[in-house]
Amino acid sequence: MDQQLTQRMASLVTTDDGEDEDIQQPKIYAKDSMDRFGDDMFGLILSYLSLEDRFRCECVSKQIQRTVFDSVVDIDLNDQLIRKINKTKTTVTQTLETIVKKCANIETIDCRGMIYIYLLFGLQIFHDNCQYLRNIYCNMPSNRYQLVPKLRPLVTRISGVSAKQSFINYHRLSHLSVTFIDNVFDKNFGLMAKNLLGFEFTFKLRDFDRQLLSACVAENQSLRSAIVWIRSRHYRLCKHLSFNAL
Amino acid sequence: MADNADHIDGDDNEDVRAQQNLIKIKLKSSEGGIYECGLTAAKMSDLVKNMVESLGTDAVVTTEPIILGNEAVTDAALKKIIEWVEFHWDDPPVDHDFEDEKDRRNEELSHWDKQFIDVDDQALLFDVIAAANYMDIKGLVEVGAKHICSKIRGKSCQEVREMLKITNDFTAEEEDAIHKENAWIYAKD
Repeated sequence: MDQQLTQRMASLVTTDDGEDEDIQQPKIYAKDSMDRFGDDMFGLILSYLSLEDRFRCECVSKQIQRTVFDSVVDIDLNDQLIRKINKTKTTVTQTLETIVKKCANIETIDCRGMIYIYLLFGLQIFHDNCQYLRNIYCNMPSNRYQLVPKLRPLVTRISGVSAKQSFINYHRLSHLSVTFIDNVFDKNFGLMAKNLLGFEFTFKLRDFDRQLLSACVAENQSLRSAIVWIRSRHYRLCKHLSFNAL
Repeated sequence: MADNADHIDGDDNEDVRAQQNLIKIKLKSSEGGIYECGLTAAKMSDLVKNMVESLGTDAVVTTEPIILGNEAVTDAALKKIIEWVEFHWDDPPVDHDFEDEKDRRNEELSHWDKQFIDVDDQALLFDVIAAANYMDIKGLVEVGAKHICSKIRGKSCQEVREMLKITNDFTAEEEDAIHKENAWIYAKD
């Protein structure tokens, strides 16, 4: 009898512990509280937040902390972000590391708004931490700004090309934006970018070389869109439209 | 009808959808309320669409109500949902191209959707989102999610907690540590 009583007392003591209670009984949440939603719904709803807002509300609750970063699949790295980090006490490397560790599902990095010096180690950190990373978009003004070889196969879009340079190791390059069409030809007029899906260049009215364009089109049969800038206006040429019209 | 639908193009297809929407089906909430909804509109819910298609003939569909058993599908939520699908059933189909998808996700809600989803009763708002999710109406879940995210935009953790009635289960130390890690977002550009 006494033993039974002690056992009962013991069980009372353990159920008094707040944490155990949570596990034993499903909680009933108020209908107007977002706590009622499971992680899936949280992830779905929070997927429309900007990157900054995600970090800002990370400390709202543990449920938000574990769901808010899952849907970050693309991220913009730009000078504005670096400027902000530089105003804090932590280094750019440390901050980029915390960002990347939280956003483990990043597939695409757009660093077309980032200057070169930060680009290199920024990309290195992302490359080492994001197992799903498969697209890098970046600026590459000239040959001086080549990426390290192991990053090159991830580059799918290059913009801001203003001088001749080789794209030979960029096997997955699909979109290219250059100032003038001769930027994609080497000194012997060999074409350096083939099998593109998108191509953008400025049309020089005076000494436009029609042969270069023909060569470009011939080696890029898969082209889906071409944007041609004529002064400040741009014209979008589609697949079905003939380039001979130029 | 299916035979006709197979070899008709754009405009005619819209006619078929419009005609089908004249057929009214009944939807039953978890509270027992029964509401009428156009067939095309109701089929914006993948759950209802699958149920209707598995039932087969239109005759069955129009007499027996389709039971939506999830507790989020209250009378009030179901009425809101029917209002939404009856407004949106003739929207052009969503383009699934990657670039467009990203643009669409970033796009602001239309004026109508904003007014529709901006309800004072937060319990009803959450019911509508949960019910739309249960009924698999992706467009409406997106409207609800965008609305909540627009309310979160720029707010502090404490403001978000108060607004959405979320319990803070962090200790003060844990919260401080997260703040320190994320210091960059508070820096003025």
